[in-house]
Amino acid sequence: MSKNKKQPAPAPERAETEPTIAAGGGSAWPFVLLGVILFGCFLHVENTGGAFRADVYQAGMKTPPPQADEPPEVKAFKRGAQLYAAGCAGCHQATGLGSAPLNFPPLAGSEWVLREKPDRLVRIILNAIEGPITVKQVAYDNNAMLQFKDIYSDEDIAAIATFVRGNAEWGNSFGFVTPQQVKVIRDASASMGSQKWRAETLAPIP
Amino acid sequence: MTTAQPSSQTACAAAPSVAEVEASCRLPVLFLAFSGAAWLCAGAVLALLASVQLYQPAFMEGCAWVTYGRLRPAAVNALTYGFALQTAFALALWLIARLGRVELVAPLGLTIAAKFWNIAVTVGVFGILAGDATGFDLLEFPLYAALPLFASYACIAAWALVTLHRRTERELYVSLWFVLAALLWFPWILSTAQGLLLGWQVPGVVQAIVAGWFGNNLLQIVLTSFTLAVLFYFVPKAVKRPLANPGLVSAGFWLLLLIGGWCGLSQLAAVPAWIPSVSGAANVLVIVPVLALLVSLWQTADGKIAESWKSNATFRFLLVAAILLLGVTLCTAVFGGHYTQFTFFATARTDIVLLGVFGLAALGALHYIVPRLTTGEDELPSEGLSDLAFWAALFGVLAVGIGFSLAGFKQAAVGASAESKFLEGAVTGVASNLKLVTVGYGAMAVAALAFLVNFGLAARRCCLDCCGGAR
Ligand code: HEC
Repeated sequence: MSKNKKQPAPAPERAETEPTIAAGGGSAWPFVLLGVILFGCFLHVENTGGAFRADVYQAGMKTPPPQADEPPEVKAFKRGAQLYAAGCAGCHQATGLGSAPLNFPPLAGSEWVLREKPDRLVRIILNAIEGPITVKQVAYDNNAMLQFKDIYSDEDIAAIATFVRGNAEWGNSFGFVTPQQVKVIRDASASMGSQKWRAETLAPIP
Repeated sequence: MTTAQPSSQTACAAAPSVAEVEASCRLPVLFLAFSGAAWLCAGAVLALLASVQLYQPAFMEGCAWVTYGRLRPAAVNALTYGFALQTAFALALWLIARLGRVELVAPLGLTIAAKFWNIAVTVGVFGILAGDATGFDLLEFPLYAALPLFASYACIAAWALVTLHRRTERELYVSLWFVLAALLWFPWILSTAQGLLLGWQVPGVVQAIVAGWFGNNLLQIVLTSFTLAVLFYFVPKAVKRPLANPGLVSAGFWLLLLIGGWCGLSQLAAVPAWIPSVSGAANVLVIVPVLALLVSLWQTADGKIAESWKSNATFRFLLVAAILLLGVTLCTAVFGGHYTQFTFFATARTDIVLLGVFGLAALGALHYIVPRLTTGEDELPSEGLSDLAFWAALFGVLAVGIGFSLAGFKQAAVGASAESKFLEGAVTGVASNLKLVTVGYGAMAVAALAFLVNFGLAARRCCLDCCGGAR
């Protein structure tokens, strides 16, 4: 719209003009004000913005509350505890002591579990074990154990192994098992198919 | 966009006369305006009934259809889609036709699309009452209403944009910037929000963010833009002066679009802390464009305000709308943070923007547009009813806004101290404020009714003049 628009077209009853725009104008104050407020805004966001992290929910904090930053071992251990409760505790019991009358061997203090390397444990979880076996001077023979290779991922099995080997309540105190370790063993024993281990076949494994 | 230089192509030979322009507007604009006002009345009544249940929980007990959880969203959505957006389309079409000096493209098609919009809103409101609401603030319409709604919007907006494209007055006046921005902004936010929430079904935390973002953009950009389009058109017209300080206006326009979309999330809970933080900052920053725009209007009208208030029925609506716009912006900036979280304060903001800022501006504009499109006179037939509409709407908006705000502050004070008793302070203690809200909605319904009757009188006179056939 412009100033010279004085309705050239015929508009009989009422020659209404549309609004026009005055010349000139333009002020700097909005931008000055904007700058001043912007400065305050930066302070505000700096103080309450949680450093723009997606995992900080509490205004005034720069890092998430500690439990979110747990070391991977602790995370794996906790996850392993859940998986153990779901997948193993039915037979080996929540206490890890198994049940001699039901023919389930213990995991707590078991010499099959507490070895320098987790190689036997991971193999047993992947392909299961059957046939006669002696654990803590007691003989068992039961082919009920399930194969977990198609049920749990490498991460899951590593977590279970970490939990079983490192469970202080059971008196076990070995370290962290990584998913990479599990993967190597899974690949190495792929040729076994769905055949289970036996105490004899497992003996050469360190 | 626009400079103060005289336009090189002033209305060329092909430009239609004002009478022709208005003739093309008549059917769609009047239809949209009338149904919009009717929805204002219906929505206010629904909101009134819902507000009663806040202090009288046994009111209308026993029927699931009229419980608070359904009535309130039904009311808010009726007011938003039935009244606000629908009336905004009427204003947009009229502004485009008038300022572009062009006849509306497909007036009949527009009217049919508007009819479908109304059907979709009706279906949506009943869908909410039947229990099909989606549960997202301001997006409660179930999908079977939301999709036709979007389709009819697409038709209306497409024809509006084609009309704008064909305008004979090439220079875009300020009001048309705002209309254009709002017409393009709305489908973007609506499709994004509906797509993410109902189609894609994003997980929990993201839902709250998307719904909040949509609601704020609807209020802060779309409805505020339509309001400003109206203000920038009618204020210079009412005071018969050119718009002062255009530089300020273009700065305000762009800053509003830039900042406005970030506001309104400052009270979200259980989202990453930077979102409410940045949004709180934007709530304060948005004062700058709002102030810039209002200062330009004020410089335009300065010295003639009192005179125009008396002589011009439209101007008083606009003045109040402008004051409310400033007020609600400042209030949100200062109090819109954690302090008033989880209180009626946010409700107050929604209702003030919906009914006060936009609602009053729209009613004011309609008091100008409707008589011109019906009787051809400058004012609606009954001055008394115009006065009633203004004072009732003003009282209604203030009562609703103040009632909810005070209730919000009381609740915030209760939330801030461990000693105060929650039930007595924040629930039964705010009953008196909420009664004010009920009265306010009642006044709003009366205002809508007064306007509708006046509208009806004008239409009747128009029909009699034209031997009962022209409309
Ligand atoms: C369906 C019952 C069952 C489930 C479930 C089961 N086991 Fe076993 N597990 C057995 C039986 C029975 C043996 C003894 C096999 C044998 O006699 O050769 C055994 C043996 C073992 C052994 C070797 C003996 C020992 O006690 O050290 C280990 C290690 C072991 N299981 C670990 C696990 C782990 C870890 C899980 C969970 C991922 C698991 N088992 C789940 C039944 C089960």
